[in-house]
Amino acid sequence: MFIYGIWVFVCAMEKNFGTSNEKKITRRDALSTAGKVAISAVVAGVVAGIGGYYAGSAVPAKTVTSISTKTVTKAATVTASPTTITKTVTTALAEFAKGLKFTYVTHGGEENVFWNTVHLGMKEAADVLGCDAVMIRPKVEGDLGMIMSNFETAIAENPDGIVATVCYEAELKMIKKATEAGIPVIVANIDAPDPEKRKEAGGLCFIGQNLEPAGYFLAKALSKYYPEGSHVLIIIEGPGMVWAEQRCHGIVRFLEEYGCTYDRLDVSFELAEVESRLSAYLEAHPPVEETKAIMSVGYTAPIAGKVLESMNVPPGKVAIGTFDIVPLVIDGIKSGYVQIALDQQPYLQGFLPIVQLALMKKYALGAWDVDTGHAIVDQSNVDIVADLSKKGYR
Amino acid sequence: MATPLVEMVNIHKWFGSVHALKGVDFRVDRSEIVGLVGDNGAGKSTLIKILSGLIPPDEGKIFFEGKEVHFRSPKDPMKLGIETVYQDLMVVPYLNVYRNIFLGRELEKKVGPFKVLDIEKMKKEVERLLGDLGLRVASPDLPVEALSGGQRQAVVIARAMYFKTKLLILDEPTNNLSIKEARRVLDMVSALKRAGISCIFITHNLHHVYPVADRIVVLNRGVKIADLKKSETTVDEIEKLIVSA
Amino acid sequence: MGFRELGITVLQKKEISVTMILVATVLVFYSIQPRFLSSLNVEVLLKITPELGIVALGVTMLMIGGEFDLSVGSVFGFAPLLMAVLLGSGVNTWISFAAVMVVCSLIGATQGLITVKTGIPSFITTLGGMLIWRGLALVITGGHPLYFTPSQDFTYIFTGKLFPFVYSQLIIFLGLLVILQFILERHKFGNWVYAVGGRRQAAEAMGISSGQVKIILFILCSVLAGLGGVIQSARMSQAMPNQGSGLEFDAIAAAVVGGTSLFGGVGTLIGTMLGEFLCRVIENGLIIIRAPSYYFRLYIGIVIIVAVIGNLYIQRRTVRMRVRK
Repeated sequence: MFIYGIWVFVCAMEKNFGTSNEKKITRRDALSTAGKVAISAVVAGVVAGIGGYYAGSAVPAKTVTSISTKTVTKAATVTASPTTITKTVTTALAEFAKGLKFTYVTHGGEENVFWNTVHLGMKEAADVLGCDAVMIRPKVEGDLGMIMSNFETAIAENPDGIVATVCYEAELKMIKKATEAGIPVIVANIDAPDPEKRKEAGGLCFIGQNLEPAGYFLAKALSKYYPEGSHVLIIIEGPGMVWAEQRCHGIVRFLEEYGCTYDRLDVSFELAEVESRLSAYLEAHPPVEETKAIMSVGYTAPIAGKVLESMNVPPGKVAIGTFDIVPLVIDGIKSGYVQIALDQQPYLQGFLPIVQLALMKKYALGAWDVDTGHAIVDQSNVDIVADLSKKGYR
Repeated sequence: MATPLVEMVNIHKWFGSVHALKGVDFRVDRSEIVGLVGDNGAGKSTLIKILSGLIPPDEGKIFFEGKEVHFRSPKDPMKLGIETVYQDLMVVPYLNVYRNIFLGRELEKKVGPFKVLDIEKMKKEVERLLGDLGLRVASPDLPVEALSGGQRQAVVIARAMYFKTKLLILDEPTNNLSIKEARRVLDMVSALKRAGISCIFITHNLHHVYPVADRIVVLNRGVKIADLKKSETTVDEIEKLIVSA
Repeated sequence: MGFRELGITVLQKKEISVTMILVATVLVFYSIQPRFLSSLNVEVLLKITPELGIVALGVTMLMIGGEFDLSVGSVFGFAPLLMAVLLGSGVNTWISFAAVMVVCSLIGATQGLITVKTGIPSFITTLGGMLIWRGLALVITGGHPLYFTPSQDFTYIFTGKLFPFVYSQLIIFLGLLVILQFILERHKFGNWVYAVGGRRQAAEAMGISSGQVKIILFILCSVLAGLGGVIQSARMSQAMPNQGSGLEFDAIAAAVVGGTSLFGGVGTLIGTMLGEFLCRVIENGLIIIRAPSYYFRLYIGIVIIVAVIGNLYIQRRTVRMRVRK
């Protein structure tokens, strides 16, 4: 249609033809110019569209091929060669949720490694169930404007279900909009500060780590390694952000029960920054004599291990506890500096919502809350977890 | 003797450690055409850039019609009726002809309480002007970068011609012009003199300037080495002066 | 005007390249997923484009004048934060708004003065500005987002829904577009902007103060950036310290795609508007056709290059066509 339009346009120009050579050249110029740009524009657009389409198109139901091999050997005076009979058994996996499409709207930026694991969980759930799932991440981590417009666009696309994180309360408006449009919404990873409000807006359940209890749990589990009344440092990688403050709150709650004093260190996920601020702090509040434990609400506490090493403090003298499993944490546990890591199991935060949404759509079942957040990783299981982490599962 | 139109006294200019003008005195009378000549690096362009208000002198004074003046920006000499055609044509390549000619002095009309550009008038004036000067430019709408070198030259000359009232400064105006066009410019300059407008004509081409000039001033390495009436000298003599210095 | 004349005039418009690409892209997305042009989605597009478009207008005008402003994203975040602080202390909405606009113009004036007086490239001055205003935002808030609750009428005037598809921010955006484009095309200041950006020496030789012109453009740029930020925060009811991160490149990309030259002297605001729409259309379209969001950067990069090449190519050809006449 578009190319036809260009052709008509050029023909119209040709109406005004002259006999001079000069004009003929310019006409051809016009045709080639207009044509070339139009074609390249269309090509660009088509490439964009088709590329995107194929990238995002529904994954067909996977076929599982299993090969059973039977070997028959005949023993005889006659020379015989063993015969191998191969039977191929092909089973199509369940097309349980065929034709359904779900959208996961998250606040995690494209570089955020944690969300890659969630994405993996989501993809595998979609593969297993035979449906389509797509995750939309903002270009800038946590940018509310981008998240909101992503969310709104997702609603306009009218999927069969949406999974969302409530990084900001403003997102509840979008959850409401989705619910009113008839799209069920499950909340994952971060819940609204007030779960009641989330339910009112239409968020059917929460799948993720209950942040505050998790903080308490970590501090308590780590308390094996530091005495009552200690001085503790809490590293906050996202000051002011809901997930950070809630975990901190839980940690503090336990520390106050346990009679400890504590300090907050506000940083970011910028590892170099964490290292320099930690060094400064530990110079001022020496480890072992004063600081007996270090915990982080994100995953940067293992940096303390590095700092302690450079201060010639052997592992185990200062208790270190952290959240989330990333290579940094695994190394920290293996080296002995980090005692405990609390995994919120991001894989489940990707896998379970899809399962629930599929069940909701197929059998009109209800949603249920899942607390994914109490898996402890320490010296005893670090090797298994390390292996899975390399593959992106933990 | 009548007060000169422009008098520059003891002008010094340094660029870093380079002493570009060393105490140059320069004078233009009314209805006079002065040729300013000299080899490259003599300081001709610098001298007239000072007179056009582009750069300030480090030392020395400028008098216009007997009164001392200080030029803080090119607007000042323009207000006095001095127009310049620069050697590196000061045109904006992406803008079209009339926008360049009227740059900074756009013609406006009132629409309600607002003043907007009077584009029709500007176009008409430009077409008239170019016609009068016999300078061919395809259309005033064309961006200047689409014009040939000679046509661009024509545009800047036209610009100066439009606004000049008292003094026209031409820095190498015939450089890119065809023989016919160069002839026209020289005729135009003579016509200006008859109309009472003075002209400073900088060029390498002594044969161009000699016929029309009343006086020739020769600069060399920032110093004025000759200030001669045309009747007192010949092209060959001037050439010898420049070469031997 | 004969068809040929009309044809040349149309092709000569700098916006032709981006228009063609925009139309092509919209058609492609529509053919894959008709929901792309559903009323709901069109409304989303018309709702989110104006905030960023307003910022792009200011950036474009400054680019035409030959300078860059990399601090727009930070001002976009800083302005609503400042306003939120004022509102939180009980200051009247309109007074807070006026105060914040004044602060933005001071920011622009400062950046402009430093650039003009010291000769430091605007790239660098505003790079510093980008870090300073963002840093101030973080210092004031400690990284915490703030509630942004202006009075009802303010929110309505700036973000209210007037008719189906038409939100106030769209009207504000289009209004600003018309006014500024008019100034560029039909007012002598616009001529000066093009001149200063196209060849500063020539403008100065004709007595135009390029410094003054640029400072005005810097002020305009910062004010529009602040305005955009305030509108977005009014829509979200929140002001966040990281708001607008990366916006400067988005605005410059929209301008370049729309035909504005990085070297100055060339550009139109209509082109920028189309470029901004194109960016949002691609972003939005990729979500609608359920492509992973990683593709956005790839496609925008391709589009920028195609658009710029298209622009240059057409410009050169049509100028020659005109001259041959």
